[in-house]
Amino acid sequence: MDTPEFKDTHLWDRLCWAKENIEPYESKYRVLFEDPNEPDEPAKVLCPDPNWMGCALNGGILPPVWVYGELAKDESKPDFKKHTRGYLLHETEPVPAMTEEEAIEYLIQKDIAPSVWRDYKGNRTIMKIVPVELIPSDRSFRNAWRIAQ
Amino acid sequence: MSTINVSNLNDGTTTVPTTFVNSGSAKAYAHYDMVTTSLTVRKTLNCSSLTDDGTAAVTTNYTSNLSDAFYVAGGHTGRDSATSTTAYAIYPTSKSATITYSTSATSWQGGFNGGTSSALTANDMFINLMTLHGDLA
Repeated sequence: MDTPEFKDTHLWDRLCWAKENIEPYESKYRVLFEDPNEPDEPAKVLCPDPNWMGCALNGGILPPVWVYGELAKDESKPDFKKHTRGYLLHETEPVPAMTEEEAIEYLIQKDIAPSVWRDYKGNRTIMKIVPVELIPSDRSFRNAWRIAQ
Repeated sequence: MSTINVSNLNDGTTTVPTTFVNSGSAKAYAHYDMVTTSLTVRKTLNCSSLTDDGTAAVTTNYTSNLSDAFYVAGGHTGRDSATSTTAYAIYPTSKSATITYSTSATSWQGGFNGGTSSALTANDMFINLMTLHGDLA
């Protein structure tokens, strides 16, 4: 099915359309990362949502990732009460189809703090994109997970 | 996409505006498994990703932001295996990670209560359920 022209359509409505019309896609990647601001916490694992991945690979549905950055900036202000620039999500030209790798990069920028992927200057490796098979399924010592150096 | 423009719904007796219906619908939900593999997403709405933060700790990240951080994030009962009858619960908080309750993400902690309000024991579960109600940005 052809994707409708979604610019100026509320992002929520696009997601509802996509849920009905686009096959979910199970990514073969996970993003393993550690928070440099919380050194005692275990490594975290970002798992892309299959519906979202379907939207990313299809194109024409998701806003550019900078939109989320702008909303995050607004929300970080001390006097923030509610979003007044939500229109950026709905009125900005949607991004075209991404490859799976591009979609993972988009997700890193959207869902992982910049202190991990942009600002960290230390020597440790604190983020890795890995095939899902490399994530242990035995969670017995889950809170001791660290990224191997 | 076809569009039906309807301002009000009437069941023969009562009329409600469609905005009333939209405002009351869940804006996000997630059903996930933390036992069978590291983290398996079974079904979601409005989630871009789920982050496995540690034992029974997850952050749900949203595609369409909420308008403010005063939404209602509800964690539901969980189950630690397919046939378990032991009671578990999921709360919008975190024992091991920074607590997140923003317009773009919510952190969740699953587990069981050890007898006092602060004695939540984290426990990975087979069935984890959350829903979110509120206004979209």
